[in-house]
Amino acid sequence: MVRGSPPLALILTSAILGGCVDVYQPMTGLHRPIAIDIGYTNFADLDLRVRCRASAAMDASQAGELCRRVARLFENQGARVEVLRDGAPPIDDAEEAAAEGETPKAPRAALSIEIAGREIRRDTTTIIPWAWEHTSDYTIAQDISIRDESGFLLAADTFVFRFVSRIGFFSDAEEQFSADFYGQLSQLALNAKVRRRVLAEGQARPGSG
Amino acid sequence: MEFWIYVLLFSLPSLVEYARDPVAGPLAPDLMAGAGEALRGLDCEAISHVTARERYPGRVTAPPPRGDLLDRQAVVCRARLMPPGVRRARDEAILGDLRRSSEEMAGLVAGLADPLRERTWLVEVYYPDPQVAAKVQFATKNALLEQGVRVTDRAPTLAAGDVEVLGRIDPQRAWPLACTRYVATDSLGAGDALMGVALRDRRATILNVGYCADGDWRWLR
Repeated sequence: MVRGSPPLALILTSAILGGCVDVYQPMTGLHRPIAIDIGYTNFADLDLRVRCRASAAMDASQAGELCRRVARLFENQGARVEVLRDGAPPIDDAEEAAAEGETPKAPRAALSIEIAGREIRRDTTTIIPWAWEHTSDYTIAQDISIRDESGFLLAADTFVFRFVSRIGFFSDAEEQFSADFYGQLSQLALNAKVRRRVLAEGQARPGSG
Repeated sequence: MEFWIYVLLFSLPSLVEYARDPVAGPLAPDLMAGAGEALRGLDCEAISHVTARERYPGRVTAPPPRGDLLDRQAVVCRARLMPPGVRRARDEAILGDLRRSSEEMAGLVAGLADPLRERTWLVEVYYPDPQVAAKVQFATKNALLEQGVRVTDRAPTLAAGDVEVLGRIDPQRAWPLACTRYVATDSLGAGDALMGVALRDRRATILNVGYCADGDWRWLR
């Protein structure tokens, strides 16, 4: 299909009347189709631990905010979620129960999700040195890993996305990104949950109950 | 006024770069014709200028010998085979990842200990859509052959009564039971083994794999 460039008058009008808006480009993983409906209780039988690692792409407060949102996402789907502080050691249920003098209960399915951001590229323009910098283009990779209670890696994926500032009037970039990111994260967690269940069936030998 | 001239001068390099950006620049040809939809039909990878030169020697220019004003990066995009929305989301997710997943599943079988690996393998796929099941089966057999595993097109069969019973019980019990019946009815001989590929949850976008040999069923993944 051949498409023409926008006419010059429109660009000039946009420049005069418009502002800077973000354009979201899903690069890898985020725009893959998903089969899960995040409006349902997909994780009613699940304990989930979420940890968001701070990095150059995501400072500690952003990592905390992301973890809170991810916790809400899975709570809305029926999971019991615990947000782990970045740097805290993994918690062992049996050890924890023993330390509290309790008899360990029958374990619910438990998954640990770790999210770590990597900055791939950032273009900033210094408008006023040390005072005003404008980031016009950045590409981030989010590495997601999901493990079971024993630390076995059940699922891992990397989502790469890019935000570009350009002249325009309206942007739904954040909404699009949120829909993609939380949808993919839910799908990945469901896939991990299925894999965990199947592997558990594989370990239980016939006749062992 | 001078202030805005400075702003323009400082942002000029970035503006020049964006103008040439094939997918998101202000002068991108798709700007007026559903750029968002066009972007979702592409799988892209950001690579360095040096890597881009190595991969596409004729299409990426060499950096200037005395350095570059801009920090250049290449974005390599591939259009998807099927446009978004043509196939069901789950089918698209499964088929879009089929090469990698079939190789991975075949690798699990090829990695089994020798007496099992040397058997003739039958492949059975359980997926809600028969057309997708056929594609998965074909890809899995190819992947097995590439790994040096002996494969047959023969399909294991069960009596109508067995199928009816198996259809009513949960998958966790159905697979071992089917395996027992395959061997009891001689559908699977002593030199055969069955690789079962299944979608265990209709909300999932991964395939699970297990095998049946000597009446014993095991999940591999």
